[in-house]
Amino acid sequence: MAEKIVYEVSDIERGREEYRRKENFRSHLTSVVSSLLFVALVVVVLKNSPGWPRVKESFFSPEYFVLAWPEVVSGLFLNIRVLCVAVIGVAILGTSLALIRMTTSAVMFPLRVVARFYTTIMRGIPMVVVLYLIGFGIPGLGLFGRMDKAVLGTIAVIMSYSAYIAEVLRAGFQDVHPSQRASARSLGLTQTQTMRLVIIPQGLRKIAPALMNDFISMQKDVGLISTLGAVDAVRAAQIVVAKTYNFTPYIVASIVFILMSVPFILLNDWYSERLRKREQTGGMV
Amino acid sequence: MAGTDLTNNKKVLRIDNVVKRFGDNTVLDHISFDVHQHETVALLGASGSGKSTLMKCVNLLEQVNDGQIWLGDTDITDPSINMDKQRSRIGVVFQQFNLAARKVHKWPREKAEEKAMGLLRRIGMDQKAKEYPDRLSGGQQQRVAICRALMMEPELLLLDEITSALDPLLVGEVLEMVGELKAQGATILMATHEMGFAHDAADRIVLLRRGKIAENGSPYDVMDHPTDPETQEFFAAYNRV
Ligand SMILES: Nc1ncnc2c1ncn2[C@@H]1O[C@H](COP(=O)(O)OP(=O)(O)OP(=O)(O)O)[C@@H](O)[C@H]1O
Ligand SMILES: [Mg+2]
Repeated sequence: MAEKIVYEVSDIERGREEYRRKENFRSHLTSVVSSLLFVALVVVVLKNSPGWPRVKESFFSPEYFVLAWPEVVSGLFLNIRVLCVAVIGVAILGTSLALIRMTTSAVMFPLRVVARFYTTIMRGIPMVVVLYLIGFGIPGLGLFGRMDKAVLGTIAVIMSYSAYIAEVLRAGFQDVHPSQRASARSLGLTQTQTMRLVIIPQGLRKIAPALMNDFISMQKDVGLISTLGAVDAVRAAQIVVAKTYNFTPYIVASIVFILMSVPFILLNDWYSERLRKREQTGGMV
Repeated sequence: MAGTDLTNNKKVLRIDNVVKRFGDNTVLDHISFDVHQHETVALLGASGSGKSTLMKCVNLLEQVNDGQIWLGDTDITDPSINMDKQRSRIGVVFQQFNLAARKVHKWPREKAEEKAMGLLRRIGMDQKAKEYPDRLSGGQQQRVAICRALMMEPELLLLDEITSALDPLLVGEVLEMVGELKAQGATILMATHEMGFAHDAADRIVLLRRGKIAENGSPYDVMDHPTDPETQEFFAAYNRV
C-alpha cells in the first residue's frame, strides 16, 4: 500500500480548517444542547402531569414487560414469515404491473388499462380496508374452503404494496434519460439488452432508496394482519392486554417492530448517502 | 485592442498560491495570477492541465486545498463568507451542463424579462424565448447560456471552452459575441483550445503545465515569440493540426 502523503499547509489553510472545525463543533454542540433541552422539557411535562403515575404503571410496567416479551416475540415470527413471502410476491406482481404499464404495443392496450386502473384504485384504499375485503371477502365466497388468516393477510399486503412498488419502478425506469437508450441502441445493443444492461441498472439505482423505504413501511404494516385475527406480534400483545388490563405489551410490540426495522433504516440511510456522494463527485454546490 | 497591457487597472480577480488536489493528484500546484478590470485573460493548457478545475475553484464549486482567491477585496476562500452572494458576482458559462431542462425565460419580474428579451434579441434568439433548452441546438444553448451569465451583470465572466461542442460557423458566432462583450468592457477569464481566438481576443495568456504556470504574458510574447522549448512545442503542435 502507498503511504499517505502529508502535504505542507500554509497558515491560511490551517486557519480555514480551524474555522471549519469550530463551526462543525458549534453546530454539533447546538444540536446536542437543543436535544437535551427537548428531552428535559418532555420529562418535566410528563412528571408534572397529574395522570403520569397511572400512565407509567399501565404503559411502562417492568413486570408486565417481562411477562409479555416471550409472547410478543414468538408472534413476531409470524410477521417475519409473512414479510418474507410478501416481499417475493410484491416483487413479482409489482414488476409485472410496471412492465405492463410501460409497454407501448396496441395489443397490450386492455392490460395497460387494467394495470392503470389497479394501481390507481389500490393506492387509494386504506390498507386496513384492503385487509378486511380480502380477509373476510374471499372466505365469504366459499370457493377455497377454510383459509389461514395469515395467508389472507399476506395476499392483502401483496396486493396493496404491489401498486405502490409498480409506480416507483415505472417512474424509475422512465426517468432514465432518453439519450441513454439512444446511445445504447446506437452501440448496437438490442431492445432487450438495452433494457437489461443500461436502463434497469440505472433506474434501480435511482429508486433504490424509495424501494427500501417502502420495504421498511411494509415491515410495520404486516402488523396489521392482526386485524384479521392472525396471532402475530400485535395480536399476541393484544391478548396479554386483554388478560391483564395493562398496556405495557403494546410498548413491547412497538419495541420489537422498531428493533426489526432499525437495521434496514440504517442500511437505507447509508446507501442513500453513498449514492448521493457518488452522483455528486467533486461538486459541493 | 488585443494584447493591450491593462495590468495597471484595478484587480478584479487575484489567484494567490492556489493548490487543488484530487486525492494525491495535485492538479493546481501553487498557482498565482491576476485578472484586471476590462482585461480578457485566456487560460491555455493541454487537456487535463486543470483549466476547468481552476474555474470551478473561482466559482466556488470546488474547495481549494490551499491558497486564496480574491474577488475585488473579498477573500472568497474564507469559509465564513456567503458563498451564494459571491457566486452571483461571477457569470459562468461551462463546457457542458449549462441549462437545466427548464424554460429559457424564467424571470417573473417585468424588468428582468425585458432585459432577458433584450439580450436574447441581440443574439437573434428572441423567437425562442419560450422554448425548452432540450429543443435548442448546441450553439443556441451556448449563446443563451452566455445571456444568462450576463443577466446578473457580473464583475467577472468565466468562460470554459464554450465553443468545444459547436460547428465552425457557430464557433464564429459565439466568439463574435465574446468579442463584443470585451469591447463593452467586460472582464473575462476564459479557457479555450481556440488558439487563433485566444491570440486575437486575449490581452494576456496564462499557460498551465503540470500544475504550474508555465507562461504568463501578452499573446505576442507567449504565442508568437516563445522562448521556452516546451511552450514552443505546445503551440507548434496546435499549428500542425
Ligand atoms: N471531480 C474530480 N475528481 C477527481 N479528479 C478530477 C475531478 N475533476 C477533475 N479531475 C482531474 O483533474 C485534472 C484536471 O482536469 P480539468 O477538467 O481541470 O482539465 P482541463 O484543463 O479543463 O482539461 P480539458 O482541456 O480537457 O477541458 C484531470 O487530471 C482530471 O482527471
Ligand atoms: Mg476543461
